[in-house]
Amino acid sequence: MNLSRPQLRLIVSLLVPILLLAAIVAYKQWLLDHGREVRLPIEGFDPRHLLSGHYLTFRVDYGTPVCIQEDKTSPPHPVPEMAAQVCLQPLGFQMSDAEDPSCRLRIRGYCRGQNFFAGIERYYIPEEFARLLDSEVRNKLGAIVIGVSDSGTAIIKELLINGTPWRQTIQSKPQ
Amino acid sequence: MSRLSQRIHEWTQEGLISADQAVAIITYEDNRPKTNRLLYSFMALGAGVLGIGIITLIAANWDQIPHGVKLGVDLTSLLAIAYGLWQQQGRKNSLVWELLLLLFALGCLASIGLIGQIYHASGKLDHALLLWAVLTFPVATLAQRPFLPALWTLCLIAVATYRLLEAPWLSVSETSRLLLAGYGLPLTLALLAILLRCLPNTELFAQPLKLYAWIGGIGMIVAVDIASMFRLSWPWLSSTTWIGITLAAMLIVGISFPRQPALPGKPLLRLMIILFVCFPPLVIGLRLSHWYSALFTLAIFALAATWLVQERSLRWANTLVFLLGARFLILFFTAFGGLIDAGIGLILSGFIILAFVWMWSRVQGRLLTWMAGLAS
Repeated sequence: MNLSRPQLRLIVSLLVPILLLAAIVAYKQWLLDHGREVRLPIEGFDPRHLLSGHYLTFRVDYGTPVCIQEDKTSPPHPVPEMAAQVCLQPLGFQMSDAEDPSCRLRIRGYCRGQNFFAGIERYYIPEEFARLLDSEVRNKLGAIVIGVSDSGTAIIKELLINGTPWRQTIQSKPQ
Repeated sequence: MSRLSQRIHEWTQEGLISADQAVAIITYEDNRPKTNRLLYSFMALGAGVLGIGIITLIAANWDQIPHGVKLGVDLTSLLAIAYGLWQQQGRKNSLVWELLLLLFALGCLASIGLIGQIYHASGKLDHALLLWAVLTFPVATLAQRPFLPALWTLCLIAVATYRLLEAPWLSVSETSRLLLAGYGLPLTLALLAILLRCLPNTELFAQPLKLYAWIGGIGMIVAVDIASMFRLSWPWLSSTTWIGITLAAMLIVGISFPRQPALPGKPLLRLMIILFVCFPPLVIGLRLSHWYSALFTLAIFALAATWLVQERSLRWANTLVFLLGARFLILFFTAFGGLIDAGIGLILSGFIILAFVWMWSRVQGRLLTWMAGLAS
């Protein structure tokens, strides 16, 4: 089939976005399926809802101090982001994302001020459960199950409340 | 009988054109593809509402539907719209083509939101919008009407402005950042619009850039004028002035470039740019009194209205004349203080304006010719 230049341009313009989106989905699904599973406690819940939906934001407890700043004066605005990584095996923190051979399992991210962000600080929840889940997570011990790739990229698999997946916790509660 | 037909009938009656020429003109106009603005507006509204509805549905995070099904339906919908566009490729001037392009673009945005939600992505809104802009740029270039390119351009401007305001390497306060954005953005957008005019087939992107530059410029002038009236002390950095001067210099060179397509009233345009660049540094930086701010504002608006008349953008010219009038009224009240004095002053001004309108109707032709000579 001989395609003219305008036809080729149309095909490329339409297929490239679809293929890129499909590739993003494939990558994230691969992370979910093949990433090393790690369970981390969380704290500091803050339920919000935006156009993108209801979600909880929280701080992850890595079990080691993160983003320690020597300079204790007020940070400039906006606070600069600095590449960093948390090593889970053995436990440690490094203020750079250069690969450390002694670290067997790492999570890459960045520091903004005294907070470490690895892309696992948000969990989307369905609209109808937002209020119920809000009260549950504020009172109980929360944790997340994440998948971590060899390169240190992490993705959230599940939200746990008192060790139980949040759906089971909600369903066991009277409505 | 339409307005054109009425005019053609009058010309025929006056013997300016023959009956055959009249028929030929009417036949030609009837066969031209018509732009039904009202239909197009409703189409854009419908597609926009549909897209927002889909995004809102995603926002509800409908838990009953498995993630795989949601993603499958989403990507299949995009493919279906793409197939529809492939079928419509012979009718690129049709509203259906525009509608499908818009749905595809909004579908990509909905897909980004859905993927972020399913996989709990922690990215910020500007990351999502930047990804959307990159994915849909080729699609936006396929549009034959301005809505999608204008939407795409607005998205990119929003992302760029947000990034500037949040840039950690810019070690200045938030207010200084806002002033830099308000001052530099209209000049940058105008410069981009001028540069795009030299490239073929970029009119649909140049037009919204020009529009946003005008809106940003007018907004900045009004903001500075208000700040001056209320004696707000904003921090104005010399680096901001230098950035403005550099952008203005590039803009003036761009306007004067010989290969630049014909632009009406270049000397007026250059004068407007110079006044705009001088206005905030002088009024905010040197803390000049609000009288100077008022004079600057009136001068810039008057020049801009004159230039817009040259460019035949009469709606924008009327808007600026309205703003000019409003600023003039505020100046009057400020000048006279009391209501009685202001009232007498306004009555006199009203008489003067009415007298001017009477004179205008009598000398309009000669006055417009003089203004045209002034602009060129």
